[in-house]
Amino acid sequence: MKMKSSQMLKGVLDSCVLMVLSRKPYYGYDLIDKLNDYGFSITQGTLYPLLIRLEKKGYVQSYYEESNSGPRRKYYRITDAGRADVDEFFHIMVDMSKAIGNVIEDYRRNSHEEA
Amino acid sequence: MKKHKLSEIRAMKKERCEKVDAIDKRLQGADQERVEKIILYIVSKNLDPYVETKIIIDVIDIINDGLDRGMSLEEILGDDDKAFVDDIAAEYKKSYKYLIGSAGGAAAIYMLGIMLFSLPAMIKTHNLRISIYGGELFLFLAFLMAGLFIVEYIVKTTYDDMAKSRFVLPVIALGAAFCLAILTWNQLFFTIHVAVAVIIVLAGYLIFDLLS
Repeated sequence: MKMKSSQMLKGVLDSCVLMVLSRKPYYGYDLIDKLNDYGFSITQGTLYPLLIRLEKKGYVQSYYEESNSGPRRKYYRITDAGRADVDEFFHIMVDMSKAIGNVIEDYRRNSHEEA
Repeated sequence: MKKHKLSEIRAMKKERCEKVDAIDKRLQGADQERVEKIILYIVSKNLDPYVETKIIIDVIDIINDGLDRGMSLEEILGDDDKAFVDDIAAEYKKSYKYLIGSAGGAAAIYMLGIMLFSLPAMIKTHNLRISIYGGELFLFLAFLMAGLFIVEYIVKTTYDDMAKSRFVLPVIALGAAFCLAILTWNQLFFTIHVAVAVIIVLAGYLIFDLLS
């Protein structure tokens, strides 16, 4: 189950991270907190390789900023290429989530009727 | 890949050493061992030395920040360190710069050793040429190969066993180098001027410093 969900997550997490970054630049742990607030359950073990992947694709840029509470922090901001990718993902996901929602609703209704 | 200034590379190497040292002191027991394994596994990926250093610094910063927040290593990195490093390494091409750097360092050490060994004879005879014999050259190559293989074995077996087939080629190469060393023990291969030897030492050290 865990394996299945992590594979499903991999497919959409890149774009979800870009969506969060499209509002403002984030530092790694703040980004994790934000994503976990949305209901994801991820660690730096998942996020750091993902951010490297996005940076290599040119979708995000990293930069350092001094921190008041310790050493410098690495922030990530979305690029124009990242915005273009996330816009495309948004339109696809809106349609797809409607379709998936319909299937789930239908499945739930049938399950209740059978029970 | 973006070119980096020598001063920037040196500063990063220094920062990496300091951070590895500091995290090693900060952690204890199983956590310390776990982070050592992660770093070793990153090294085993044969990434460009600059990328490798950057990643190690980032990972240590992530761990330090997490620890400062009162998190455990499990909460910081999750439960699959191998997958974590594999995911990172998948984004970069392999680089064999470290091998060239090691070869440069080895050439410098070898030539320096031969120079020091030949120094009394050079002073005595006023002959500034150094004799290179087959035996010492192949013996040195054998030790160099053995050293590289031991390092390779340690880093590659961080999370997995090494297949027995991977031992075949190094063992054959090692055996061949020892045989050639015995066969050419007193055979003069060539002579070089001491100035050339000094240039080889300096060039070898420079290559080692830049690429390793």
